Amino acid sequence: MIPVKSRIIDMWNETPDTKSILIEDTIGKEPLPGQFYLLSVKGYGEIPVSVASWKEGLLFTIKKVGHVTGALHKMKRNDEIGIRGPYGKGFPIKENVTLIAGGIGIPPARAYIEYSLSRGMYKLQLLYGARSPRDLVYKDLLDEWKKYFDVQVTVDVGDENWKGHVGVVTTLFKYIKDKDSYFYLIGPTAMLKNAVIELQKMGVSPDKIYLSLERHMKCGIGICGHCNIGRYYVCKDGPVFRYSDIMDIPELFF
Amino acid sequence: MQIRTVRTVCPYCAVGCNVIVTSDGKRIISVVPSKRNDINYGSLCIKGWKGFDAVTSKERLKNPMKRTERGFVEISWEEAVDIVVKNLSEIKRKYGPDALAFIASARCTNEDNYLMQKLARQVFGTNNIDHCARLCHSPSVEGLISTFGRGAATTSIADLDNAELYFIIGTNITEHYPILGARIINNVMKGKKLIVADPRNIHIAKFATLHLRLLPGTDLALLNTMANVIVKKGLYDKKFIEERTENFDEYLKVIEYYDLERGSKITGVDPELIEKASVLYATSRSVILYSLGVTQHVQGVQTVQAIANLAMLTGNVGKPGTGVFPIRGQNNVQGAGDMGALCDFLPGYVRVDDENGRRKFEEAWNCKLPSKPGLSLPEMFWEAYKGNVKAMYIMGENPVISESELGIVEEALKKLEFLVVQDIFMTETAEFAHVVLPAKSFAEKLGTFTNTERRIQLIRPFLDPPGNALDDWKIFQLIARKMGYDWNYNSPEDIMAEISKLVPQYKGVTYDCLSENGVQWPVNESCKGTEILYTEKFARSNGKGRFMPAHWERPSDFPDEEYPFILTTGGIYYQYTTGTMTRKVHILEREAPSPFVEINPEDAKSLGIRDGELVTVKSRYGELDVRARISDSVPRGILFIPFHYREAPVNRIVNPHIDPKARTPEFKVTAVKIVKKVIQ
Amino acid sequence: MIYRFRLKKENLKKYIEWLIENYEVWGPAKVHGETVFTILKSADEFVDERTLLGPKELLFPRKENIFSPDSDIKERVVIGVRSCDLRGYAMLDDIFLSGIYRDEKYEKRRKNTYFINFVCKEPCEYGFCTTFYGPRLKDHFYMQFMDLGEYYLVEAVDKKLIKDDLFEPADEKDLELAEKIEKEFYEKMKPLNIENLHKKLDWNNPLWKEFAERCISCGACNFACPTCFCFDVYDEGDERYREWDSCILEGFTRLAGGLNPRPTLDLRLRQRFLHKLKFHYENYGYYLCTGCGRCIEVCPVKIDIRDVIRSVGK
Repeated sequence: MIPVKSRIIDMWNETPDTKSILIEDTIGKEPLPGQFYLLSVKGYGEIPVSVASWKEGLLFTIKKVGHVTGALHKMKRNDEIGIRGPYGKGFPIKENVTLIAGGIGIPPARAYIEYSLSRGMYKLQLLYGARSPRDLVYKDLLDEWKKYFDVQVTVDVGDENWKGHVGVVTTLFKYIKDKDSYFYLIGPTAMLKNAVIELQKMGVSPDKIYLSLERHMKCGIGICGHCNIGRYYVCKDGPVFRYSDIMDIPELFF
Repeated sequence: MQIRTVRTVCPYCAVGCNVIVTSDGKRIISVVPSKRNDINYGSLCIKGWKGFDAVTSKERLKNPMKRTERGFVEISWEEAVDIVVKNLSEIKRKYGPDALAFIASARCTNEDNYLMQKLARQVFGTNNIDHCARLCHSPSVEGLISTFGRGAATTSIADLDNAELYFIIGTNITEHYPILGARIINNVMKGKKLIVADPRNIHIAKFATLHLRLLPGTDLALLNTMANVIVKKGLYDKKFIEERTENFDEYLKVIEYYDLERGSKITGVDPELIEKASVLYATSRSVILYSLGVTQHVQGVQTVQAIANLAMLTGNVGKPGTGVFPIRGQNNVQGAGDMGALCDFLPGYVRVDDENGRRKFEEAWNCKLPSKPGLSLPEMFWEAYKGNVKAMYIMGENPVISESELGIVEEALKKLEFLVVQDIFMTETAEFAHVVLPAKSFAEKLGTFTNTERRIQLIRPFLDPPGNALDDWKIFQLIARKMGYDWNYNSPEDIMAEISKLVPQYKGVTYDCLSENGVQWPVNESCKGTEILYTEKFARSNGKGRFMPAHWERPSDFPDEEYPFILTTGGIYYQYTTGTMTRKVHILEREAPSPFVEINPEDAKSLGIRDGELVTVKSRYGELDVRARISDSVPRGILFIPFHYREAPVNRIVNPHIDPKARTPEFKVTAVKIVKKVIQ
Repeated sequence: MIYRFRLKKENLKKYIEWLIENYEVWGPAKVHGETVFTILKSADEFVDERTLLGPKELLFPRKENIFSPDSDIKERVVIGVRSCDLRGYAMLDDIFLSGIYRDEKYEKRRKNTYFINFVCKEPCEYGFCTTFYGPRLKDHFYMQFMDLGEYYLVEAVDKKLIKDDLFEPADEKDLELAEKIEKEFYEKMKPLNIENLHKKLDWNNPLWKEFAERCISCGACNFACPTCFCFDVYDEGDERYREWDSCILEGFTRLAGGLNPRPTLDLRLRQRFLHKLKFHYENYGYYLCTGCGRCIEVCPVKIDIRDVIRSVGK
């Protein structure tokens, strides 16, 4: 449970409350999309964050929500930071995948997309929803990806300049190209709940739906008990779960 | 690294759970509750399991400090004692002894408190010594002394199992005294009856046979109405009243006024419910348990007397399974009062203006003692604000957060020429001090605490003190000796030997006889204690209990059109008083990290307030920003804010009107309004 | 290979003296009127009595600094632990010594601690150990003492702590007597029916709400349980601490934004019982409970896990 020392290579703003951090990979084990690391800020604590990309270092995109993320946001280039990982079970690598990302769920979707594209697997579709145009992340990448596969973007609430789709991410479901693809869902609980209902209405089978769950985590290695759901530990048996495996658990959505 | 295992007593509430702690001197290895049935029967609340870690925090004060322009600087004990003695004697010389004020601590041991009041009285010649009981149970002391003769619980915790009915009024028992509340729950599960009188939908009310949701500040009217019903139905104990009490006729005259219709109108409780409760109480072996919901009112003393009246009326006192149980709040608030850390009482509740009583102490301490009652806690701050009190010596208390005087506490402290604060952490109050003295916590010293059932229990050290922290009593000895007084206590046992000679209730107490079980005062020469008081006669001079009737008056602050809500304050389970200790314990702080204002769902709806929204609560005395928490535990028209948090010091905005006799502020009723916070 | 010896009862004291000479010895002793686990300085202090809590802290400290270097843990003997506690610690091994991560400090403590467990003679007030492993363990012990009257039957997995001049080999009669005593124990404490408990135990059991009515959230059930292992991790300055946590507390699953998958007490109590009697079985093949009854004994309102087991019906 001891973190490995590393340092921040670079940091930049994505939105008013979200920053991307590029960290030197001093662990040296290549992660899989959907996995996460625990970032350690000395004096404040540790937080689990899904890795977004690992081209020249480990990239994380983190929203400021509390105590530790607040401290993280105040850090600068070359600051020392601790990392542990990669942990968890990521997305299964499949030929034909529709990714549905809500809000801060986009980083693991990016991880999967980059992985998939780098192996020549182009049968993808991305449906991405954010709160408002200001909260959209990786805007340049979205345009880049549009060259390879269909990308649909929506916002809950538009602004004067927004000309795109307005509505929650489930309103994009009419654009789903392949109902037989695998569906990978990442986002806030409320979004997951509604998305799963809508997909099933469309006839998608529960064993083709995968969810990346979010729970309070501490140890990240399946022993402290905080992230358990039914017989599973989100850090060890997830965070990516096949919906058919967990659909009968009453406390799945809250 | 020496392993030691000792029996000690939890430093939090006054239930005084016994715990066996094993430590290596630096860290606590294990915490095991005592299996003994008379207090905690193998259980502890979460503060007992986790809260002891507070004293191992790195923030413990290690060395004496003095204030300089560069901030606080560490100094030696010699220098610290010198500065304290020099300043206090200068101020006494220039302005007289009553320009000094001493605040003792309900968290420190009997020995610490005894020496502090001796320091104030013998060495510095003033009765200006008081402690936080003034903020909570001093109405109990006044009220019960005037009716029964002793200001403490008449029965014992274990004896509660013998009652048939519990009447719980003005106390959120499971929140504040969890183990006591659990004992009541267990008894009710076995079939005993429970009457709960509280405006809020508190946890214990779930188990109530009858829940009387009265308006805050109307308890006295309720009790008078219940007495009225009992008398009208002839359910009172004629024999008991005749043989054991006096002044019954005056009592009858007053309660006649409180028929069911009037009582129901004042309290807002259904008359049928009041009637049922009265009959149930009078026809069962009943105990009344109460705490700050009754005392923190301008009519606190009268309400306590009304409770005592009800017990005498029905013969529900002086027998097993009956009685009046003021649930004391802090681990040693009972003891601090017993030790005379009060402005109007010497040790053993001898009034300072009682010449005969005073003589015993003057002989023992070889000095003349001041005869005028000193300043009470709220008055000390008023007088400091006005410039009459020039110096203060505060032990183990954090008035900047806990006091109610219109937020003038900080101004008052700033005006002082000299302030000494003796504590285990750097509290908000210590920030104003000229000298800060590091004291040992309960974990590092030997001494005694007296719990809410009058049980004197030993605490034993299991940790090494941090840095150069000293026992509170040792610090007082250093100062007294520097002042020229020949204090020669080698250990707290020596102090208890002196106490047992001067305080009749503690007569036969020695550390040997306290060893495992402690003993409940009054104690006789062979160290045998008293479980139940007043079995033969009351403790007043003629042996009779006295009915003390009073009419209900509106609380000093009452809602009107501008301030339509009643704000009531109190504590919560995970935190403790001003949070000096509990906010340093990780799990406790995690469970309750921030302040809130509880508001009824319908009230929230009509004001458009969402859960978690920042709101401003305004009283006639101040305002406070805090987040709203929608909860149906508060009825319509009532708001609740916990007082633990320095980010939302609610005691700044509460009603500072004090009970004229006991001088306790009316914390429980403040008229307020609540508005959404406008963020620019 | 289990070695079987016997020790005359009057030699127990000499044996403990020998242990104290050679090792750090922990055992139940009377401290200010209460029997608790502590370091024994002399053999006279030892009492063969069941304590309220077992010495779980010796393997899994209630609070420890993760970053601190491994402290020097010397060999120690813990004598007088009850079988229910010891069997529970074996379950902790599956958590801390396997999986993704081997807890080094735990491993060191485990290797350096020799447990000598005593078989209970009489059922305790709240115990139901016969439902699981019984007062006399068949495995997962180091050295087991069983009171046969004049002798203790000693079953050991190696001879390290066997003092030849005090111990003699056990014979058939001793084993028969042990069986007889064990059978009598099972008569006095009838095992509860746990057949397919993990399948029958339901998310919707009405007991969760019933317990939540009176539970006061003290966490004692978790702290007293020999098999509970959940902990919290937090930073304090440069140090990172791990301390015992309780799954029935609200902050246990609260997320940074304030949302909580288990916002009410009944859901958290449900988690505790389902974890012990269903999920752990589904993952490891055994129930996370040894029937020691401590959770019931320390509970201020006597919430009873046996009610949960009995509630599943046939």
